[in-house]
Amino acid sequence: MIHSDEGREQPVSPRGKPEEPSFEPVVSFKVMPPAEERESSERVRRINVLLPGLYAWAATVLYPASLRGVGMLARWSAALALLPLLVGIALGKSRPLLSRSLSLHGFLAACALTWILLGDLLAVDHLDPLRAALGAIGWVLFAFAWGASREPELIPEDDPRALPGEPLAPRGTLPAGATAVLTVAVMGALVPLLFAWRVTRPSHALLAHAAAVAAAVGLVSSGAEIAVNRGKWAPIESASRRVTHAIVPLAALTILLLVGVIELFSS
Amino acid sequence: MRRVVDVISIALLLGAALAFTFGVRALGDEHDLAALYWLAAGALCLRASTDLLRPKPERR
Repeated sequence: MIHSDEGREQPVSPRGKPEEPSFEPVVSFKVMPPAEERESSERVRRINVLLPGLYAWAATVLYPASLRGVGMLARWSAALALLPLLVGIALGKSRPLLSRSLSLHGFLAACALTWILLGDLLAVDHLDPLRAALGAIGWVLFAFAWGASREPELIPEDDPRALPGEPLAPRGTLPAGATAVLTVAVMGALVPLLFAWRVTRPSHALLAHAAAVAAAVGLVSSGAEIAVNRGKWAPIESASRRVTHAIVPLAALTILLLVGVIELFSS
Repeated sequence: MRRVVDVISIALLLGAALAFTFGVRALGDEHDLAALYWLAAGALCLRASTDLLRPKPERR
């Protein structure tokens, strides 16, 4: 032991130098799973990619290519489009980059090539809406299968290969009711998206979908901002100042609502 | 008072969701002017709700 400037004792290494203070986690978390368990979860992940990929391919590539009047080139392209997915999945962890390139990019490129070769057969008026919607769900599931979420209680920093350091403690907590506000925003964003399907005029339907998507994006971003930041400025900003800063949109909204009320009663 | 402004901000967010819904529904009912009206009202509600939450810094 040696004494530091403050008079505290510090541990000394066998070579006489003060040892670095060792970091010990305050809370013990679940450590990385053993190799066998990781292998098993990798297999599950590959199946998760394969199944929605197969479904999306069958619903949106194989089915239209098997219809009457489709050329041989498009048929061959549709059949071969599955190959990159299968080869990529089979490669797995042995060649991770090539596996990803083949089963994601190669598969998508091959499917897109088939769609180009199918041409007018994929025009909107030839599509069965239910089949198209199911195919879209298949592609959504395929996209989600490529994502990965952290297992509950698993801390990547606890891996023996991770560099030690101070744990990053959260700098704040969410204000009360944040989940409720975000839920309201998300639910509110879903309603215009559903109503957009009621628009039957083709050109207006496109506008309705665009407006509904823009509204949904705006509602979710504003909802998230309100949910997270509500109350954080409270010690700084007074209520009157906040109202003053929002006066332009509030005044425009009031005028617009007044015009609407006048129009409603005059007609 | 700040809590009231918070509530107004959330109410404006709800109002924006309702206005957007009315706007898209009006498009479906072939009421284009009403659709424009409600979409504009929704955008203003959304803008007001975030401005109430996060005032811009004062210019010096």
